[in-house]
Amino acid sequence: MAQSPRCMRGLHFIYSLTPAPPTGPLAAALAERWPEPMRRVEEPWPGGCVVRFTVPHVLELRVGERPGEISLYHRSRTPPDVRALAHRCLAEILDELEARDEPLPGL
Amino acid sequence: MSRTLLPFESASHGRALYGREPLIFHCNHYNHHLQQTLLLPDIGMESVMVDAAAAVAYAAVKRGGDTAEARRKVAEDTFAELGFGTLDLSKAGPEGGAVVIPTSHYGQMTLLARDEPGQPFQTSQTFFDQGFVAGALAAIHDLPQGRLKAEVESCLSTGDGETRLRLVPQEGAPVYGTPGPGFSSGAVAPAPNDATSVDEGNVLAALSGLDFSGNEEGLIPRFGVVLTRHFANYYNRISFEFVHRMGEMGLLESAETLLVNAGYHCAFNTFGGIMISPEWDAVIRPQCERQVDWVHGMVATVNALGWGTWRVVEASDQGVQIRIYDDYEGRGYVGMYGAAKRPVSYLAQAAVAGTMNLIYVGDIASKPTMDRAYFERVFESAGAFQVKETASMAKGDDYTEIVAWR
Repeated sequence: MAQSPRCMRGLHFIYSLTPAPPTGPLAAALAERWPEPMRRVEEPWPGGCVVRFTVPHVLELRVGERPGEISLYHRSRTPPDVRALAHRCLAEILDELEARDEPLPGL
Repeated sequence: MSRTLLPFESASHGRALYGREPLIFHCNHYNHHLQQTLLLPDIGMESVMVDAAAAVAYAAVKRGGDTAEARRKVAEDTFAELGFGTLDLSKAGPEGGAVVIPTSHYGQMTLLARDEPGQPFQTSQTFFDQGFVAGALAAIHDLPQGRLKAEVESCLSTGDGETRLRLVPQEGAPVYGTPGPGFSSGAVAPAPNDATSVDEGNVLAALSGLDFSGNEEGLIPRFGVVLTRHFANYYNRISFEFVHRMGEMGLLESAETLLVNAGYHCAFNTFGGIMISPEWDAVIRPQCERQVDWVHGMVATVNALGWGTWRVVEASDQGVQIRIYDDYEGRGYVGMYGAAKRPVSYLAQAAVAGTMNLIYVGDIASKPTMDRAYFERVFESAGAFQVKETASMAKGDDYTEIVAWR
């Protein structure tokens, strides 16, 4: 996981996972663990789409912008403890997805 | 997230109008550096920024419906949609009252653009928000423009948890008008230069599928920066008033240089951010066969920003000649003040030089770290590109032309 080196300091983090995480199991795991409802929006990109998961006023995840990367954007008013919880939650989910025996379908 | 908005109208040369006001994209870095440039002592630009914001807000919100409630909803939703933040206008009436701004581009995101990111300012930086609220509330309650004034009680930019404005009535305050879409020479842009592998139509189509609306905090994080889809006539008024005021003090050329320098931060951060973004990697980079194609790719992207239509006449590693049809600075200047005596497209000059510097001096293709040291290497080295505005629509030419060389 890397913090964005640019102006989004503290707001934008990039997680890397090889191969790219499938959005279906990722969404299911997020929905299971995150206490608040999550919105899912698909944004058309050349050659595919980017899936954006949003917990309003808390965070946004963008999956599919680059192969194997997930962008985590905190919202500006998200308190530090909730930001930390988001990181823990996402890291655990990605560890679990990566540890699965069966091959994961792509995006 | 359902918002009540005015219609977005497409206009010639890639322009977008909202309530007849032209919109353009700019990022938090430019907004920060432009604002800090204007805040030189003894020029009085604070009130100009407030009043310029009030003018565009008043013009747009007046078109927001037949009832005060309808216009209030449009005002709040416009603020969020265009990336300015969120606000609650429900506690203020025609006599004034309190307005709370929980999230704000100018209050929060300009902090991220400081040399020491996140450090609060000593004094409030919320001039645009003040003006927007005062202008919007006057329009909502059918008051003359300038009848309300917004005083700052607390401000996100100075480290408070929210911005709180107190609206109070005032009499006789000067107001700015807005020229709306402004002036055009009527010249029509030719087809894109075909000496490139970049397909501009393809780029514009791909970018049109992306979501550039404000999120639920009314902010637009994109390309590694935080964007605003801003009112062109706000930038025009504050920039040109700055030039005029500095000119009256015998500092005209200094003012012009300062505005170009502020534009370098736009070029560096927004264009640099775009060229290292996943969006660029997905849409434009695959089309680039040679280094010069990056110039064409950036120009194609600029043509999605509402800045007018850019056309590359000639480009190489030694220089570039770009013609701009309906550049927003030229349109706004003539609309506000009549024909210009000197070139006025300061941001366009910076953007052209910045593009060349990033590609040929800074090797942006190598995805460098976008920090202060890189900025100095790209823009302040002996090999940096020089730039000149060689034709100006604001002065009567058919188009604005910018030439950069080294």
